[in-house]
Amino acid sequence: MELHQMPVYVLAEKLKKKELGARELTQAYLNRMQTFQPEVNAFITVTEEKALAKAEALQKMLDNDQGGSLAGVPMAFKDNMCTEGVRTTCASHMLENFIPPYNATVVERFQSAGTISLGKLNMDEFAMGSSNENSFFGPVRNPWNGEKVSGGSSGGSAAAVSAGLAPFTLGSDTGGSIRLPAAFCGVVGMKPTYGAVSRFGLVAFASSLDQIGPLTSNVKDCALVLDTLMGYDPKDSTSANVVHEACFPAVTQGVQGMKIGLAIEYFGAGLNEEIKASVYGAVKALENAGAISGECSVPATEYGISAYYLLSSAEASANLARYDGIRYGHRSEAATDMQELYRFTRGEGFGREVKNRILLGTHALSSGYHDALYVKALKVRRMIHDDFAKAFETYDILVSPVSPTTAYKIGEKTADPLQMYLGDVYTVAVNLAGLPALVVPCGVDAQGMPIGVQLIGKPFSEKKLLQAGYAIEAALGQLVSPMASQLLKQAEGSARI
Amino acid sequence: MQADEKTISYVANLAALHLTQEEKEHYSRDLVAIMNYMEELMAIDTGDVQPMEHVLSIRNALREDVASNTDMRDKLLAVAPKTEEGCYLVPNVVE
Repeated sequence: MELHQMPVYVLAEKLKKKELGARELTQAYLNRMQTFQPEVNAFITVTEEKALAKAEALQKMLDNDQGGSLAGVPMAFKDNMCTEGVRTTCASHMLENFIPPYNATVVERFQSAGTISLGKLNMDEFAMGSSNENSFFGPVRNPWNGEKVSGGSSGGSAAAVSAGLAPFTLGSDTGGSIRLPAAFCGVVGMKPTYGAVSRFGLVAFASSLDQIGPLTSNVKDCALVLDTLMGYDPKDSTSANVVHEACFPAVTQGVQGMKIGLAIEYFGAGLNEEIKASVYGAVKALENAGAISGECSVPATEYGISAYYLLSSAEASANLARYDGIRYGHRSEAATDMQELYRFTRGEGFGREVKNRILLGTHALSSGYHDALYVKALKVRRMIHDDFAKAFETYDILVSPVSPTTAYKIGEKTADPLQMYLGDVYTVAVNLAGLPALVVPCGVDAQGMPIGVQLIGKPFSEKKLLQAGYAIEAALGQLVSPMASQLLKQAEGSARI
Repeated sequence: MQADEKTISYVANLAALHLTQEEKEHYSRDLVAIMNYMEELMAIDTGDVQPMEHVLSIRNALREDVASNTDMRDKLLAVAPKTEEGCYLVPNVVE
């Protein structure tokens, strides 16, 4: 097996046993990047020198049987997580040259675990998008088919894992931004319970919905990464002060007697038949492993798109008010007074979709519309939350599709934002209710594009979701993209064990 | 929502966002479609449902009154587009 095809948990073991060197492993990924990064555009910034220097330092620790749980394992962060000394752009002209003076808590956590950052991953600008076409640095291309989108907004995070350019990555999910690209690129992705992962140093989009999570090639890796990721952080006032049970050791414990609900609203009109069949296949796999399934209903989720786009845009319009051209980021050269400085800086710095959301959100919060739009959406949010809570009185996990379609062609939906928003119909309600959700590949369509299944759980039931995800993966197998199957010529430095 | 250019200009002004004429036309088209779709919310009977801002019960996160951050003044000023003598530089605001 090639190095780039090995799971994280295997790499970590081999590094500890000194069967593999941190430098050799890091170099193998950097070599692959030279060939495949220009094709997929998964990275905005590659930190080659820093990565190799870090690998040297970690190798010394490994040689002395030191280093954290993931010592020497390369990975990469979505470019909305602050990295001290490494530019953090949010894929925006506004932050094109922003070099944060501090690290996000998640960055600190993975540094302590001994991982090596390969760089910063492409995304939709300020995480606003479902296809990763809204990046100032160009779209991410799907490793399964370069003409198709990767999904967004964590498109670079999913494509990098899918193409074998990083063993694992971190993304963020406000309305489906980990789960959609995971499904489109055929990888595993988890949106943890709201509050389970620190948001300190994550550039804010919609603060009551944003959550960081892992993207990996398999379910065991997802559990392993999650165990490093989750935990209380006093620097984040919304961080949940709960003790997280380790997920990794429990992944293979099975689903005997687990109750699986299929919400009828998630299988209605508009869902592609191949996806429906594939998701039912995943349910069958769970049943074969001992789970019990039944039908349920979460009626208010039908209004999820409207409520989500009003609330997330309202929060975004407030959060993005901080980009004023004064303290950091882009500053207009054309302004002659303060008002112009604000208006021109923001007009020049933000891209098309970001402005769209700011306008929508400002409108929803403006005098005369606040109650009719914003407060109405908050009430619908509670209805959605309560519908889920009711379903979870009977069921442990709800199973659903991730997206009504598989990955579509680049450019196909960019002219019509509403059509783009409707693609999030199965993912946004999870964020509104603050629930954890896991996406696992469950097949490919007739065009050879990956299909994912979404498992939704009660708050803080990540372990159970991973157990179910593992049962599906064990029955249906992992997906490997054509690009990850492609090897470098020996002369280009491919390493074999 | 009436998303004519006048409304777009009004909202853009609230958001301190400069838009070109072409952008105003563009957003008035896009936002009408989106707002029309969102009309569905008006039809829902939300009765006495309480608005939900946050899924967690949010409380003020208090800590001991002890300085925890090191002095980052120079680091923070270093990322500003324009500074002078340890201050942020802005256009003239007082005549």
